[in-house]
Amino acid sequence: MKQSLASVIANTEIADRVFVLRLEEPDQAREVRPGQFVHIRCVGFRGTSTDPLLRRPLSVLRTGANPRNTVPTGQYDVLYDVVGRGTALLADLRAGDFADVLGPLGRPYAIRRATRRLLLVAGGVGIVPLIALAEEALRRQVDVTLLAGFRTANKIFPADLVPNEVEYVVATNDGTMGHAGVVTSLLPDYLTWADQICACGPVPMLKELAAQRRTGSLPTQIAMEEHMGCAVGVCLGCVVPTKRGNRRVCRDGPVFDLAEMGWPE
Amino acid sequence: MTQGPNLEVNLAPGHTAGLKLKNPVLTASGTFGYGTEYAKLLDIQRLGGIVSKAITLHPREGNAQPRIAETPSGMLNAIGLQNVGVEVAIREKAPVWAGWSVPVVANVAGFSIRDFVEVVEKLSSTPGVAGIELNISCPNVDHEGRMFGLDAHDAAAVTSAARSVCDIPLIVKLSPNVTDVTEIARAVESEGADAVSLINTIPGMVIDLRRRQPYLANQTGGLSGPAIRPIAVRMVWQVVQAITIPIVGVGGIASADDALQFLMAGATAVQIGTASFVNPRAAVDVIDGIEAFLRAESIPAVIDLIGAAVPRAAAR
Repeated sequence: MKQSLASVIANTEIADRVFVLRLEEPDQAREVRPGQFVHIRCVGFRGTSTDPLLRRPLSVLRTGANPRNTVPTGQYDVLYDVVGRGTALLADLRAGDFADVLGPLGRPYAIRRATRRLLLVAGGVGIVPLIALAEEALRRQVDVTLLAGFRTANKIFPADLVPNEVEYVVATNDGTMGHAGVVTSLLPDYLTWADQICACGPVPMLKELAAQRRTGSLPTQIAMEEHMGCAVGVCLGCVVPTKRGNRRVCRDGPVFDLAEMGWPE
Repeated sequence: MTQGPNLEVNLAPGHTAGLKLKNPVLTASGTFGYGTEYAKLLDIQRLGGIVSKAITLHPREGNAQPRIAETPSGMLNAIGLQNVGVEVAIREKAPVWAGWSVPVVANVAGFSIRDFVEVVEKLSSTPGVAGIELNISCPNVDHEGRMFGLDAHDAAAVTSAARSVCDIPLIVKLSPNVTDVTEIARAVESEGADAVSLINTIPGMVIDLRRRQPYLANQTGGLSGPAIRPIAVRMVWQVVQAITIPIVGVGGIASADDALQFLMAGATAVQIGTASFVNPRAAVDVIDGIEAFLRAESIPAVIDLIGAAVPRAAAR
């Protein structure tokens, strides 16, 4: 984990207002594990602007440290959806710029040694850490199915950015592409296939996953999303309630064992 | 100049042991955890001091989400004093502090005078705790939840009670949410505080337009960050003309220039708060920047700058 000025290699719109930012920072690229994130300043390193003040946490999509992708060694990709002023400023970054990046941060996913069939369940940009995880799973010869839900067709994560060997099943809330409905409606067909589940997405999606997956039946890890202040475990702005009390998404997570959450309540 | 400028300050000159810092830059309570979290990102031993997360008598889970909201050049927080409680702090945190050269000041919060007394008494005899900072911006359950820091009598009472069980340097952190901060400062000085720190956060609110409700679960939160800096500088400048004990300036400091404003306004030291979230190296950058300023201006010691902007600078 370090604070560093990373070089911007590219900043590409891959879906409607969804961008992949490629950064070069060899230490971070080497160190990052699937599920971890970086905390990035939106205002550029040269400026002393304090507005917007806080960094933005972005999950790592792929790292060049994994030979399963085309990202050059020493570089890694993060993804963001332009939802406010901070991410709009990120969209202005150009190749040759520098970005002040802190990371990698947080607890990563862990693929169990015995796992042979890994089911990934994504909601929206929750797909990001699961792409990194899929690449890691393929490197370890684990079969991967990725169920991903999006609001609508033009927000879909492009299939050509998903590794070929992954079975990629898409659902849209409005039925404009793929399966019509929420992604968790796809689960019944896959729960018996999988021997491990990893998920990332909105809390209602994760709770529905918890409800369908019988308690203790399948090892399941989830990554939580929360607004963050410091992202290093200090400000306690990003806690989520768990069976063991309030836990920090940035430091104790973002990956938690589903059983730890106490769902269904 | 072969020898660098002298950055040393003493936050408790009236105390037998004093609270001597190798430079005037501390980290503010609630923004640096228990000191260990940032150790990978900067050399914490370079700091003048570390002020711990607020410690209460019992462990606290804090408020529901959302707890923080970004605002123009600032943020609101309503964490709700989530902390491990004094027993765990003494058992698990203080032994780590005891091995450091950087002094750690324990920030103490309470909801009754009895709470404060119990926690201060325990911490003041704990190795590794160099001083106490009282957070009096807490609701007093014995006075219908009125904050101690809003009334001179209440502030004096809690300071007096804490002082009676505190053998180590005692700093009282003042709330800005008052008509006349100098009145509160004088009250805590007269009850034996070794120093005051100011300002705590300023109450604020953000409305969630979609829900048509306050955004934070706690409804209100404390505003911090560069947005509040001019208010803090003004209050330090007023308080230094009313009391003789040292002042620790805090509020929106993100750079050495910001810190120098506080020193010239009369602060003997400063605390870096929200800026650490944005730039984990902020406190060290401020130390380096103050030293560079002193060299450039050929000023031999940082104490020579303190109160430079005050009409009749109080002798330090």
